[in-house]
Amino acid sequence: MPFADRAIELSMLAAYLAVLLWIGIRSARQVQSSGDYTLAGRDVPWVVVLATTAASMIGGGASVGMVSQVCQFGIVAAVVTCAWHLQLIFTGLFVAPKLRGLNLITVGDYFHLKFGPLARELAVVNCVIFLVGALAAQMAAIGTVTNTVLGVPYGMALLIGATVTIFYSTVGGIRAVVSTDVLQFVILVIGIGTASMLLVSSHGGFAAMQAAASEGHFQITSHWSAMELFSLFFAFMLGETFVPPYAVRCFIAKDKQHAKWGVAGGGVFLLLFLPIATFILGTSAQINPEVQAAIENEQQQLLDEAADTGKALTEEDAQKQAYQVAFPTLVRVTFHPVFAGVMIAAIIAAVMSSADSCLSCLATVVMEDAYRRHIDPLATDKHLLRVAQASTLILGSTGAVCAWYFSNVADILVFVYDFWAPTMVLPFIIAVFWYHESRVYAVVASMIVGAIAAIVWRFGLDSPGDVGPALFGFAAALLAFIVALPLTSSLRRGWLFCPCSDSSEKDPT
Amino acid sequence: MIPVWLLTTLHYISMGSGVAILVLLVWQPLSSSFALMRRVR
Repeated sequence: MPFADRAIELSMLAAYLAVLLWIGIRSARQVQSSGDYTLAGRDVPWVVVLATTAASMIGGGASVGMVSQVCQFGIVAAVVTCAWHLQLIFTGLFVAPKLRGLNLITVGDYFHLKFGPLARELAVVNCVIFLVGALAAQMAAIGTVTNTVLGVPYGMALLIGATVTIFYSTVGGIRAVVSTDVLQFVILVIGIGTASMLLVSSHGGFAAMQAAASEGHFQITSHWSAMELFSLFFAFMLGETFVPPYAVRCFIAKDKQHAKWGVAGGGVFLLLFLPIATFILGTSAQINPEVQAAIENEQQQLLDEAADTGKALTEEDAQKQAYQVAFPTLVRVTFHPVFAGVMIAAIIAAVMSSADSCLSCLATVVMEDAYRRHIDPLATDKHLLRVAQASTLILGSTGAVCAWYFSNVADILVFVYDFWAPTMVLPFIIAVFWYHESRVYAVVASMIVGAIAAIVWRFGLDSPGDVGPALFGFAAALLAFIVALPLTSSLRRGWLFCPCSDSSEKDPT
Repeated sequence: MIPVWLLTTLHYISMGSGVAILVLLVWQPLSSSFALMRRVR
């Protein structure tokens, strides 16, 4: 790549990072209480909730990852991502108003309110596992994406990206996270939208693209079986349902209606906007000879490096990794360097906006579910604010250190998703649609059985028969609930299973 | 095989939704400011 083009790309990225730091400092002035820091004062309008939800949704996997998948497998990869957006619409329409109406602070509060203290602690453990894993994965993605896109060494990219993210999240809390998310959302929409429009026009429309693409690229299932497509669609849908970053978007909205239309609107917008845009980008990458040459070159380099270092790397794995260069290469070979710089900033924005959401949620869980509940229930608001800020700093740095040692983003994310769905999705569904105090024991039993089943299926049996641990664990949790319900519905409940809440009294806003 | 007309329509909808959301994001703070100005008067 010419030096001038690289200089333009790096300056665009530097300017973008400087704006993020400025937003962090500006947001810090608005933070007066722990409620401002963790819930943005609960005054976020629906359109901003929509933008921050969408920005959190589009991470490294939904941008660079999905474009490379479409390039490799065809339209099926874009179709599967609809599962993410559909679960957001569902959450927004049916769950968000209920969560917002209760004035809660964390997911643990909701479980306490519905199923008692034991369910709360189980939910908190699940939230921590999910958020720590997702934070480490997104931190690692900052390093790998910047390394792939700009050629900056992984360690250096991780250090710069993580420092900026931790800084603005620590000083400005969720206010800074929401503000930076809006900026990241605007960059993403302008970047991806303009790129997809220019690419369709330059190729001469979809008919010309179809003629140039490989066989099966435009078929709805491509080369996959219907069962394979269904399993993956279901796994995508379950893995992200009701996860803490989306729950927080419900808590920070102005009121129930703003929560409902903000989260559901985010899902509708992404469903309309993202699958077709990623399909255009992935297809353009597939039919561009320069991109194909770059992928082959990258694959050869990976295989040569593996041979030199003695690392075990199959040709299939090398090909999968090599496809990650499809999006950045396409941007570089197709557009003017300035627009390519905007697009590259958009890619990095996508990853950073997902990392900051996880970090902010994790700090709230530590402040509310650990510190206030177990360490100092009488802590003043100022003290809690300091705890939340210190937690953000410490946890963010720990996430970056984890990302330094475990750079395989996909593996971390798969583990996190496998553990979330079996334990948390069914209790949420029951709490929202079929709640009764007599079902508390059965729900707690389903959480415990779901977690054990997923762990045994994944680590003990190594996921036989291509059935994922998330799907198996969810089925086991459902079965445990059905079996336990008639046996436990008439039992007298101990204090650990007694639904109660003091959330309305402790609302920091 | 997905028909070309469907993909073209989806693409127009996608671009329209992108523009609409950007307009809404600009309009939201502006409308709040106008409302505040009216209240101050």
